[in-house]
Amino acid sequence: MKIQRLLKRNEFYVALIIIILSLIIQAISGQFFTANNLVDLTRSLIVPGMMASGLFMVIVSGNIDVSFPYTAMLCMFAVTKLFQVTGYQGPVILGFLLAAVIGAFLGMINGVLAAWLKLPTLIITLGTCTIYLGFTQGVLKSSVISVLPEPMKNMVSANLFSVRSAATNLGSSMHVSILFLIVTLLIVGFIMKYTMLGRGIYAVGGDPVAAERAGFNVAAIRVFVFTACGMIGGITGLTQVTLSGMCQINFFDGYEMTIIAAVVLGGANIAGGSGSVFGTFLGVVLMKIISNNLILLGIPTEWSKLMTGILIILGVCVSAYKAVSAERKVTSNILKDAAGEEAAHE
Amino acid sequence: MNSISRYLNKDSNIMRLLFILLVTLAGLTIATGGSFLTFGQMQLVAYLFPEMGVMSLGMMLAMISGGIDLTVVAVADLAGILSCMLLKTIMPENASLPVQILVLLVILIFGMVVGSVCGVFTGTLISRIGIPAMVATLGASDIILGLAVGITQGSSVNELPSILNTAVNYRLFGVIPLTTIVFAACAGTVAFLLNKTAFGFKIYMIGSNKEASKYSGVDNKKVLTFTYIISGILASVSGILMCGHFNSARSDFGKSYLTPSILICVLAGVNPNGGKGKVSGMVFAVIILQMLSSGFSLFQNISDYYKNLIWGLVLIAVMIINVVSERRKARK
Repeated sequence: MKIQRLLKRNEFYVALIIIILSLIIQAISGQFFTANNLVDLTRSLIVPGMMASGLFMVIVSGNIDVSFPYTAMLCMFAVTKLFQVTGYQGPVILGFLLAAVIGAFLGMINGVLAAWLKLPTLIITLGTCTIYLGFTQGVLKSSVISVLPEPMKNMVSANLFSVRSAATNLGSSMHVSILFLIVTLLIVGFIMKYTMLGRGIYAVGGDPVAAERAGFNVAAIRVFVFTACGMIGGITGLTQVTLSGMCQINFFDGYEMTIIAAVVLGGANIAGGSGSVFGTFLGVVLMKIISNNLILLGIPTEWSKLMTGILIILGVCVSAYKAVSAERKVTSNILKDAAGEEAAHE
Repeated sequence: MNSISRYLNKDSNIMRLLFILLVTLAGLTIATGGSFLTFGQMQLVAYLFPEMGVMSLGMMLAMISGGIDLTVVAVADLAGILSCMLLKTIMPENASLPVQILVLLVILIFGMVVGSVCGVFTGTLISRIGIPAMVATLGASDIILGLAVGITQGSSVNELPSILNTAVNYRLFGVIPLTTIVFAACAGTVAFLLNKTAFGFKIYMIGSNKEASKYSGVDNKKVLTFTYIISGILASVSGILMCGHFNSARSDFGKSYLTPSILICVLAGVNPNGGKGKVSGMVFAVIILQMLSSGFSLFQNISDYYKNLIWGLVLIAVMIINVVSERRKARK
């Protein structure tokens, strides 16, 4: 029974693909299961993983957000510039708080517009994302900051531990911001699984009208998911700075697509109402393994965009197919019941 | 005269757009000290707006059907690139003018075939597999653009035979740009399809209520697929216009057109939830947007970055105004 239930779960298949893929890469290169590669891989999961957990909530609620990479970009530049201008020397945590507040505000704009206008959220967030991009480039006049303020610079070199592979003699360090990823995943997971708010998000994504009748405040839930996504986006923006030691305008280019792909691959239904944080995280791992090893898998980098497209389409095809077959099952059950009743009447 | 005013009363949206158009024109003329309202500037607007306009017509069709077509930019790029590559290979050297024009027509048809193949692909994903239009076109646009990037390896297709550039820059009687004529032809065809054919009526039906149209005997799958095919064809035409304008083809030419093309539709009164929208509104909206775009470039101190900011703000503002005015109307 337990195994049967496991076989039905999307996460199981994603995990299976990840294991097979990593074994293939190990077989080709012999360098996948080395300490430094695993640390590097985990490091590269931090930023997309955080963003995906924010977007996951938005997608479960039946909406979509393409503005979060631009929120992250704006927060990254705004906070770094502010620190530069004021010559701030205190603890770096203030920067993260500031980024979270700005991000939450930008996300709230999306959420309020979505709840108020009741128009497709893709168009709304497409509009706001051009505003955020224009603001960053035009008003903040930013494209690159190579020398970071002191507090951030100190965090760049804050590592939890370092490893060195014996075979290749390559070293890698685990950055302290992995803790952000873990905390974000835990909080989002807790909200979605154990709170009324989480139930509400699933309910709104499944059927907004039914959720409203059941007593959920649909508008408030919409505002919440976008605000949370923006807040996580803001924190992610600053995390990226401390990871790479600089600010660059093109850090998050194309992120909206890869993160959506990761969430969808992780089993969240793009129409809303289902999915899990764990699945989303596995989706991110899968995306990263593929994109990190494209060349190793024999795919030139020029074709990487094609790969994300194919992955998105494959992911949604599977979930669309599942939805259709589930519907068919319900209909056939109803038909069977009706036939049974008719037989009983006769 | 009476019939005109009756017509205008019937369509308050057109009146509003005409008003915005005049205000934009007047505002830009005053702001530039009269240098905007010149024959040359107007001709430039007329020359440039079709690139965006033809693409937006496809976006409009998808929106009326209750979806959205984010592939328009990618299709324009891919069709442009493939057509230009074909143009380079099949154009004979020192060909006479009739032969050159013939080759150009072949290229145009080839581009439209590429567009319709892309349309079949996205249309099938949406109608037969049942993926929401937004995600299907988002993924498909990555695939199509990915092909374009992969084929060109990120570089541009240069040294095209001069006929394409000459043709796109051609002005009928020395006044009317050929691009405007192409836009008029496309807009006319789309208007005819929407207003005079059963197919057009079915698109509106699907956009208003998918279930109802299905149970009234409309083949939703077929109509939707066809909608995205037409959208693809229109996008490919605009891609070829773009290549003619820049005299080369690249995989990132169309990139900046996505938000404006959605903005044009929303400004034109097309309902993003489906079921509403007219070609006449589109014509006004696209001219307004091109005027703004050309007008901004007259000011040295407004960089392209602010253009993004302004497009986004206008898009959000127009959506708010549309929704508020519609709700007020509904309350009455």
